[in-house]
Amino acid sequence: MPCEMITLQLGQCGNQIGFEFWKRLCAEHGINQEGILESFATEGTDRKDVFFYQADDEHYIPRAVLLDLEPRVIHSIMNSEYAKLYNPENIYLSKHGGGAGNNWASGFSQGGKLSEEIFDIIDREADGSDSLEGFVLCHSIAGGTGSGMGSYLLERLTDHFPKKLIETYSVFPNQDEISDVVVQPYNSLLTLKRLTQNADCVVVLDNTALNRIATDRLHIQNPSFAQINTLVSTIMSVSTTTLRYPSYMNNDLIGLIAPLIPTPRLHFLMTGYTPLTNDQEAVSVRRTTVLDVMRRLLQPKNMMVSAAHERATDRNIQHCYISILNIIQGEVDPTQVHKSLQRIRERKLAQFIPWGPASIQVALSRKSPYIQSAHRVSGLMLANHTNISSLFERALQQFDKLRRREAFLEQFRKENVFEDNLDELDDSRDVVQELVDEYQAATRADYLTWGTNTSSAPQSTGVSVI
Amino acid sequence: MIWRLLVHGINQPYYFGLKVRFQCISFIMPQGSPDGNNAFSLLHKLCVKLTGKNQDDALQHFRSILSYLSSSKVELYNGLDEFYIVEKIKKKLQSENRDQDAIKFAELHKKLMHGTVKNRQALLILLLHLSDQPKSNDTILMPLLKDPCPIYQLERPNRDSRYSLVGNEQSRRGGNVVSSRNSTQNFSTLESSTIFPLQWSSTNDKKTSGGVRMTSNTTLNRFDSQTSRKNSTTDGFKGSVTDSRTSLTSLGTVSERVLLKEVIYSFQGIEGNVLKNDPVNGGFKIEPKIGLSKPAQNAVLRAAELGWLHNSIKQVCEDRTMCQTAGLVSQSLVAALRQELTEYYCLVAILEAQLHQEDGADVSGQNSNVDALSLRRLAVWAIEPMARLRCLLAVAEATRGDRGGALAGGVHAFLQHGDPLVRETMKHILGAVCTPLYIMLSRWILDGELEDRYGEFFIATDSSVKGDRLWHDKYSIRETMLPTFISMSQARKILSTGKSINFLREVCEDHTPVKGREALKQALEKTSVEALFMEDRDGGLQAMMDTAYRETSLRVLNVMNEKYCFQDHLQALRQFLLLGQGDFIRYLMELLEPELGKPASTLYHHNLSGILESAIRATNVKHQSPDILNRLDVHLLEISPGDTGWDVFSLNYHVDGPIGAIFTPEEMTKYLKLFNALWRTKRMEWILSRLWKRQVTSAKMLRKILELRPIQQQTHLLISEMVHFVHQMQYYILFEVLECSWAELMPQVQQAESLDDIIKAHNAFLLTVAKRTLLTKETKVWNVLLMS
Repeated sequence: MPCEMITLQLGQCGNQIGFEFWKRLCAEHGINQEGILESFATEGTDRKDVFFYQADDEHYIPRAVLLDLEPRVIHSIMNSEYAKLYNPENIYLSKHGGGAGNNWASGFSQGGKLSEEIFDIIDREADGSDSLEGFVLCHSIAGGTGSGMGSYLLERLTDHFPKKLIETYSVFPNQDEISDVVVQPYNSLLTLKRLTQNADCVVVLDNTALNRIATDRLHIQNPSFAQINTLVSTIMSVSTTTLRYPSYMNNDLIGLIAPLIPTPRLHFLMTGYTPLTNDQEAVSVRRTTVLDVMRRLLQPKNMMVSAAHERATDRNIQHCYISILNIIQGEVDPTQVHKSLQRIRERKLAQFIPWGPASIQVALSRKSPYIQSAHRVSGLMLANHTNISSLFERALQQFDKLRRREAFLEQFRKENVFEDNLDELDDSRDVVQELVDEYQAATRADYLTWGTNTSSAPQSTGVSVI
Repeated sequence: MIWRLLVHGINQPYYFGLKVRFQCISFIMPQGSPDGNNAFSLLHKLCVKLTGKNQDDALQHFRSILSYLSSSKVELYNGLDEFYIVEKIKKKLQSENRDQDAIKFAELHKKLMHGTVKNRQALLILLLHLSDQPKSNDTILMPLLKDPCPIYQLERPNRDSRYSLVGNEQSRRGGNVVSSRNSTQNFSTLESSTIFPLQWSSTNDKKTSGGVRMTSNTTLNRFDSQTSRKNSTTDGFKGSVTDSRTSLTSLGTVSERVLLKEVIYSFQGIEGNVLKNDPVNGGFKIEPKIGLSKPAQNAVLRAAELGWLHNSIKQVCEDRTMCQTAGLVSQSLVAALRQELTEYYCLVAILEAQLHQEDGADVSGQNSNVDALSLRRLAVWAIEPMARLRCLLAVAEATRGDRGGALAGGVHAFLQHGDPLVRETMKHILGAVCTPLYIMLSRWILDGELEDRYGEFFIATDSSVKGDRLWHDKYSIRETMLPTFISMSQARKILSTGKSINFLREVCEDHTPVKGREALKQALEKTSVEALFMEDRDGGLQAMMDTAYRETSLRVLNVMNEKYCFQDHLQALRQFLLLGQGDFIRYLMELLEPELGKPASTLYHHNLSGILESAIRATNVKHQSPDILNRLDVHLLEISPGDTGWDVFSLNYHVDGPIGAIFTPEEMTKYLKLFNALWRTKRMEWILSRLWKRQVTSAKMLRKILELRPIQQQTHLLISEMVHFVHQMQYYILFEVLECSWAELMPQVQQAESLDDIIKAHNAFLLTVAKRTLLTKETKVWNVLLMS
């Protein structure tokens, strides 16, 4: 089976959103809680083999590896009705079960210690696929396991599978509420370094924005994790829909992300989704056209990243889209796509980079026939926007506040990484700062020669000849 | 007033006045009117009154007057105008030194002008004529008195007992039958000759008038021989005979009986003594030796036209019969014409019989035949058949050399005639002509059978075409044979109906009869041929044919859709040849890469087929029906030196059997062309994807080498630009080309009413796709521009 993806779920958050994701995939492909194909799911045009494989008894088993250092979430999964879905050999729970204590360094170190066992599982999964396309990592960057062990895994995966793509669904912490995790700025920044250097594509799931959407748009007071995770699972499932329902284009992960990511480091994607509805709420069915969907996707209020369309701190910076991919599902008249794009172009609804060709790309995808939706058309936007850097800037600011005071670093010093010095922290800060700089550089036309400033000038002239 | 005019003007003996009276009556009374016959009785009364004798005695005068009146000298002045005649009379009076009378005449004429007398001119002519008569008054009556004959009796239509008395008297006197017959004939000839010009002078065509002019002196000869005989019996009256001869010469000599016979013969195309075939003009001409008065000639020749028409039609029939390849429609025309001729023969036979009967009656002396045949009567009777034969001939001439449907069309052109009689005739002829066509048509739309040995039907078949090409090439519309009353669109429907039946039977091997065939068959049998050309577009037959067309087309569509899964194949073609199944194509590309990188000449078909098989097995394509997967195959294009596998590789989809009618080899070539273009684009996309992946992964490893950064930056941007271009290109091909064309095609396929609709829509689809992917000749220039 070509283009398989192995999903790695790390930590409490990662396993929770992973659980929601699998639940949704099962529903879409007509697979029941025990991995058996439902009798009604006879239509064989969807590709289940991207994310599932079939056991000897024809059961569908997710290509998922569930990892955690503390048992709470995994136990709840194993006690759920989906317990039989997963391959028990793929569930790895740290033996001492103490967790990482929201400490990046702890998670990172434990990852190192457990790596042999973990990679046994991953290798086994990789060997079981015909042509593995890459890994999907689900985690949060604020906690201990998802960020720390996730960072370790990212580094190791790059070494271990240098030619495989790594896509992450990374949950960024909610900025609106005061976190009980005081070292969150350290954790975030240290993880961001690995996401920058080792991941090929990061889908940013900003808890700030997700919570705002839940309260403002879905009118849920104090949204629960489950409600937020439904949003996340929607994004995850729709963003993989072109892989699962193949058509002419965008049938593999590269085909999907290559046009979105022009240079390797600018790989942080924000998402937007429409229509946003709440299960509890009576759905007001509107006539939705392709143009409606595309227009709404460009509205900041539908974006799942809080930084989107925020004014840049530096007034000289005009943030812009590097690339956009709209995945549109439902009953779409293909002949309308071109007209809609033209209207958007005419109205200049989207500002694009000045240094290269860019435009809204559209992928039409089928909807699962097994899930009823009140909406004729729905759309997901995957966008590479320079404004994502403000999210990192904020992380840098919060990091700097703590770092200046050298606060809460005792726990970090206990671990191997920080035994001798705290250089890793500063190094991470440099990497993230560089990322912010690059994103800001990408708003300018001279981005073409970016990077030459850091090295000698003659080289750049030599390069431009190429 | 007339009397005064007579007394003063001419001063003739009383019987001249009587004559005048009669002339007046005969001129004033419209000829052929029911009262016309009373003229004779009036004349008779006049005779009685003027002579003061009893009826029998007066009869003698009456006869002589009639014989005098028979003179066609009156006609000499017929064409002259009133003024001329008046002047002539005046001059005559003056020349006789009767100036007083001349003045009186002028006065009287003036008064007459203000009077109510209508036939002034004729009246004056009569007067003039009378004045020309020799003065020896008594002699003129003598022969007539000596040789009494029942002149007017023959012409008397109403059997009055008074006149039968005369008849009896005649029979009593008996004896001189020959002479009496002679005079009768003379009279009849004269009568008809004087009457016909009045009736037909306006309709005289050139041919007949030419005939009239043929009056020659030789006519006299025959008359002489007759009169000499008469002279021998009526000796001592030479003077009067000469007189009567001068008057009769201008009227014609041959007896009406003979002429009638001749004319009736001529009706059947047989020449006689008087009427001879005219090899120059093709009709009949009057034997120049026979003297006939112009009007008589006129009448005879006019009647003889019927003979000419008959001959021409007969000739046409024979010509057509002779022609072996003329075909059924032509034969039908001949049959129809012959039928018409038979009817015509009946008429001729009746005429002939009547003539015989009358002859017999005359011989036996029974004078009951008051309805006797005359040239005039004949002419009247000939009008209708003449018109009929004329239009028949016109049809025959107009369609000369035509056959089959063209012939029917030619006949149809005459159907739009204003005259209902002609229209009826034409309807009949056309009905006969169309019968073979109708039978062919019925068989064609019922069973798709074409029985057309002579190539007359408007649907042609090419027996050399077999199997797959049946739909496209086997049957065609023979435009030359398309009757004008069948429109092209209708003909196409008819063609399609029979073709569909054949297609179902031969290609689809579907032998179940088309729904409603029996009903249609019965309906077709019930419908008359006329419906074919008489009905308008929403007539019963049209509706029937439309229904047949719809039903058979529907049946074909159903068979194509249900039995042969046409739409599935269409989907499959899009899925494979137009790369709709992206994941399969991508995986196939991945698997084929090691093979296709080799030189094309080292490729083996079976290796590639094997790879195709494994690609099918590995992807969702394996869920497709085996029929579709069996058709999918690898195809290697012609190898040019230096080609790698990539240059020659192509997927192929075998189409045979019924679906081959839609996916013809030409269409499949287009598909292959499209596949090649799309395959190459796809390969570019794939190569770029791999390049991008390598860059992205290598960037992680080369991160530490800062010196490489500028180069990497450049290459990244270059690649991303290319990726963007290829993706835009792919986006264009997918949305602007494939999806849009497909969106147009699908409803057309689903709403198609016939296979032709689908073929057309599919053709248009492929053309649009080729055009928009810049593969057609017209768009090639854009392609080149874009590539440079």
